[in-house]
Amino acid sequence: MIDPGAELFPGFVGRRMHVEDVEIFVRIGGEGPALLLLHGYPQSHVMWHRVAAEFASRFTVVAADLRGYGQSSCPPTDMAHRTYSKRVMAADMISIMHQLGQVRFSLMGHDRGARVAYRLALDHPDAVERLVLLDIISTYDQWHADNQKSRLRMFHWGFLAQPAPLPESLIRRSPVDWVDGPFRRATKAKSIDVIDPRALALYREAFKDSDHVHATCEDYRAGATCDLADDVADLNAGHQIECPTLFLWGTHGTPSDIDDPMALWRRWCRHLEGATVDSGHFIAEENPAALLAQALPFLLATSDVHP
Amino acid sequence: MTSLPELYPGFERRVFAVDGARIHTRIGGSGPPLLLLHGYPQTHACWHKVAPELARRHTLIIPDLRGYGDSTVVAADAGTDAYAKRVMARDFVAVMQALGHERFGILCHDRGGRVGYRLALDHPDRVRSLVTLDIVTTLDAWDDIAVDNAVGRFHWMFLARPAPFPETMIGHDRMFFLDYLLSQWTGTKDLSAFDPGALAHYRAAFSRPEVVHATCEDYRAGATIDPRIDAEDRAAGRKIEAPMLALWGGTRKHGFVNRPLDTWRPWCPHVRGEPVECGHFLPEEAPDATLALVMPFLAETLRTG
Repeated sequence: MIDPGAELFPGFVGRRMHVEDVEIFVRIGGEGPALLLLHGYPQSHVMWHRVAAEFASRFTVVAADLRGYGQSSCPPTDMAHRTYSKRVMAADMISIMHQLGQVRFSLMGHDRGARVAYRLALDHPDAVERLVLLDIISTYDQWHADNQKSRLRMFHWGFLAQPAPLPESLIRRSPVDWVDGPFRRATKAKSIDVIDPRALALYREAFKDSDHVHATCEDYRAGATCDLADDVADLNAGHQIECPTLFLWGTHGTPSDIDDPMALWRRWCRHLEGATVDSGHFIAEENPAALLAQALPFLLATSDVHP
Repeated sequence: MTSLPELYPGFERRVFAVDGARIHTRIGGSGPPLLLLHGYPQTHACWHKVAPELARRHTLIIPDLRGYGDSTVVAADAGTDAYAKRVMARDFVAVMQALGHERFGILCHDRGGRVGYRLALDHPDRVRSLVTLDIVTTLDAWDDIAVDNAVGRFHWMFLARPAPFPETMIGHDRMFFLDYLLSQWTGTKDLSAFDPGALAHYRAAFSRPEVVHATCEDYRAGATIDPRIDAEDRAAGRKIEAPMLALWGGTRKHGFVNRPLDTWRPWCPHVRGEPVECGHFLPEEAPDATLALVMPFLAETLRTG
């Protein structure tokens, strides 16, 4: 089977793993303690290509495609959208990490992958050593953001959560325009040029497949329903993320519209650090050096909050 | 446009050149003047089921909003502010003035509803009676967008994105987008409420890229200048002086429609109103029930002499 994207990860191997009927593609490289990387929309694990080698010099890096994205499969949807909930996606990741012999690992997620990451940390506290969240506030906080600028920026939440097949139909007519849109709008340079053309070609390619378009809409339908309900349940129960957490956001990123995004995460995290990075939303591709400078020391630090 | 079904037999067709726009109207009936303002994604055609009954008691002036249907914005470089509800309201003051109607009633729906209440706030001496269908003010609607209705009102965010993004997305399949919104906002979630003749009008208008662009500009104004002007009025304590009836679709679940009178009262302490058992499109989904509430109110508030 061809493995597009392999050239962007020299020294890494691609693997197709299975969680029941779902195929999850992972790219694995490096040595050391495990670090799981989870990408966002409209992307795939390929988004980590500018930082993967550096992380792999210290960690066993596992960069996965979420179900419905990249080279992972698109399981059939359900009326409640639970199939593409962050809880189920987090369970995928627990399963593949167990299959890889990793019961405890550090975790970095961007965008939708950051939503899977914080859900994983809440649902499986024993699995996560250290957590890095890139350029999001929680699903609960985003839906409750009382901020015109943020609402307009996040228009795609409402659009993609429309009942099928409205967004699917419009996206399928011009997947390239659709995929390019966030890079044009949400990078600091407001330009697609900051994205490696080989990576961009792969992002576009995935969206030419109808099943992937539908699956990624389901991700957002889950975001408007069960993911939100799961967040509310945790807030009501007083559940918090136990592990040390680093929240990084772009000076021109999604949370930059919000007055004090750290304050929002403080409610969710027992041990929170945070900083801005000179970047738009796509930190790992726009400013990989700054991401490494912030995330590596944090990930390498010895935990003093766990036995 | 000439091949479209005639929905207002016996009505005159007149075009008015106003400041920055050409406003297409249908005019008919007799009695005190009543201005009917349609909404998105529609045209003047939306009033065709209620017009015959209203025309027995009123002179009906039924325009397309600027940019919608057959009304056009003239200036090629017109920006979003050309679609401010304040500007649209001026269009209709001018149209009514040209017809010799110094004072008139307004029955208005959706985007037209925003023009209608803006006209009542900006030109209180012109408006004898105001009936709004299924809206609250733009400012209140934004304030009310919350987790339980943000998905339902996605188009407020989507259409307000900078050009040409929503235009391009909608342009991939304009008829699909139009039919989706129309059905999504009815009580029955289908197109059964819409007369095929009216649908032909909506589709003909929406098939034109310049109309789709104009309607996006309407929503861009709705995300910028319109709520700003509302906020100025709220801060200044300006009120709607005309007698006002607010009706809304009772099957709608979108936040504000559960308590629209409370939302209207700070703007219009004497507002009255109630729900009509239907979705968003009252004049087409429930024309008889709508008329049963609107006719007595207009009779009471638009009495001649």
